[in-house]
Amino acid sequence: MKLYAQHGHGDGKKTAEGLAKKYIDGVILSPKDIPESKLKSTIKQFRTDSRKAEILFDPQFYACLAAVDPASNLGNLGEEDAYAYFQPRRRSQLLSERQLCQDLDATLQFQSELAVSALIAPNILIPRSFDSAEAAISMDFIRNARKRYTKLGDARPMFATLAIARETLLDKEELLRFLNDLTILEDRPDGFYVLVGVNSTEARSEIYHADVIAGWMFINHVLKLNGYRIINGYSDILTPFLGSAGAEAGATGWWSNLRAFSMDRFAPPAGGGRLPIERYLSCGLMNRITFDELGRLRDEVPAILNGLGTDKLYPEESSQPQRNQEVLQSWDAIRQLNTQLVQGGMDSALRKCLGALDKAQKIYGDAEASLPRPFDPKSNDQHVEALQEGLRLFSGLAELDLG
Amino acid sequence: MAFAPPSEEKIRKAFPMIADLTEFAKGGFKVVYTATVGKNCEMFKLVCLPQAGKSDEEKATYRKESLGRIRREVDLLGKCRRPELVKLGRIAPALVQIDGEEYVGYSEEFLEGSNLWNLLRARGVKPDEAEARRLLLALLKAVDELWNKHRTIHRDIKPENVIKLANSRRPFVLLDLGIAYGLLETGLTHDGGTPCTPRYLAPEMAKPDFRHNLDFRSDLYTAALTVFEYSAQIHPLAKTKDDLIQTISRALHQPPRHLKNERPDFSQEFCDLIDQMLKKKPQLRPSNLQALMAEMEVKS
Repeated sequence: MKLYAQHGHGDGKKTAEGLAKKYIDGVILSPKDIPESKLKSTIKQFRTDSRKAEILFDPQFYACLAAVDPASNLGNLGEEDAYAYFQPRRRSQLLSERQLCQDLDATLQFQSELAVSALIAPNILIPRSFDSAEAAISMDFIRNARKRYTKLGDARPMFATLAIARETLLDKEELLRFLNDLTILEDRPDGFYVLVGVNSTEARSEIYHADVIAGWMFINHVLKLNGYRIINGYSDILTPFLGSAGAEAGATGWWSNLRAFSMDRFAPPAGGGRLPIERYLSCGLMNRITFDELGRLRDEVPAILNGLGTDKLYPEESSQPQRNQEVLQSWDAIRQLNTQLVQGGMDSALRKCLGALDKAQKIYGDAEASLPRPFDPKSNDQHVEALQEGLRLFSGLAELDLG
Repeated sequence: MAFAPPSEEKIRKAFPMIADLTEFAKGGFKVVYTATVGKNCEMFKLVCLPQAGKSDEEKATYRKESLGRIRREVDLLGKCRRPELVKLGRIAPALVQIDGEEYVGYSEEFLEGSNLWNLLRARGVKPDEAEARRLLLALLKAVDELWNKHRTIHRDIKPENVIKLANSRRPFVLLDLGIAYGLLETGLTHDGGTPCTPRYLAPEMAKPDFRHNLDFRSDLYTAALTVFEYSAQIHPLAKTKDDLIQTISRALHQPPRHLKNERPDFSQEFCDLIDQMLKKKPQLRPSNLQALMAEMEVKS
């Protein structure tokens, strides 16, 4: 299974290093964070860093509805004369198929001139329910993507964006109805770029919720069964779970808003805030813990360590890494989880995931006994039960018998 | 009410192009004959317009429904090109009166072979995987033509409606589009029921809103059922002594047998595909017909 860098503000040399050291297989670029004038040279540089790098461009068209708010934070997408395919849109405009097709044409045409590995068709976010005007618009974007792309005569694969809010995954009947339509498209994209949006990228419980995990996995599974390729944006630690359900790739980045997808990224900036504490992604715990927790536990509970080269980025004396190297360790750890868990067919991969969660529970038990105080709220084992229950729900939805 | 067909002499009189007639099968209000039409042997179907129903209004409704089904079946067969679907014969549908009863007669090509149900009942040698793949491929091609060319669902794929021929270029042929459902046409079933064979019912067909979500994946399910039963000589779900409720309940809720358990000599890949096509939720059945056919073509 592949892992991509979810690109964003403040890359520096992170992506280049991730590619060079083969922690990641490619990058999903964010136009919000790259001036259009530098886009082609950025792609060229990544290609130089790694000849085999897979480079994708998320057109971030889903921000068009937020863009009608003059205070929205569009970054380079909002710059005059830049990214001309991106225009503020009202929902009513997108109910017109002509407008929708023009937006598809402009967005795909723009990407066809870039040295990307595949193209990503635009779409909007389905914010609350599959039984909504936004869902109908989203389906129209998907339905028309192949027809419009064929006119370009580009031979590269084309992925349709499927961007949904986590709330849409809570109603399984609606999800099934939506997938029913999605899986009998006449004009099929090669695959889907799947995004599951949360309200706050800081709230773990929004993603680590059994229904959300099961629904996200189920989308991957159904699309894979129906012959599509699936790339999940912002999938972070869920990447191997989505891989076990059929995904081809996942992605994550260096800030919390690159590890979980949220339209907050385009909201007016709130200002202020502190830099987050550096964390270590433990494969054993399937979670990130603070460098301080790592320092306290590394000798007492060695099972929290991954035994990978990137462990050295967290020196034994202080355990505090250089901030710009934190993401390298994350990529390396997720790559390791992908390798360990996503193998040998779906049943086998799901069993491995369940086994890894049982192991995580045990390591948490050992770790909690060794710590003088409880884990930091983001470091605790809250995700384990949600993942276990999510896998069980997914098995039921997918009619699997995992014993 | 038992249906007693008219004498062969009276049928020949009503359909003078028929030279010779032998009863082949009978069921419901329909009799199928092998018939000599010109120099060819054909299958002649005689349908009695149902007399069931108590009032004149109900009789008129049934008559309209029956005529509508025959017209649709014949229209559809006339448009289908794939050899995996039965072809029309020389006798176009004609409405006749015999002994005061109304009948519609028409013919289809004669297929020299056995239907899979008879082969199953004979409990002969089970097919090898290559033959099971050929059967699946033939059914996929038929489903592809019906769906992609005519937006129609067969709705009655079952061993009884598949003929095995001794022809390597045309090994299996799917019959009987009598209850085929055209997405673009008005429903014909006036009592709101679902015309089907319960033993070969796709789970979604048992749901009240099935017409809103129906598509070719119901045929994929019944195609897989047919391949399973033909290959394993056992139905993956139903039991012979089940009543209607038990049969439908099994279709809706009971996980089917795994083909690999019944046919350990078959490849895991083929068994997994059949198992996947037998999932209760249509979304979980692989829907890329082109890819499925290509996969079967390679290994059939």
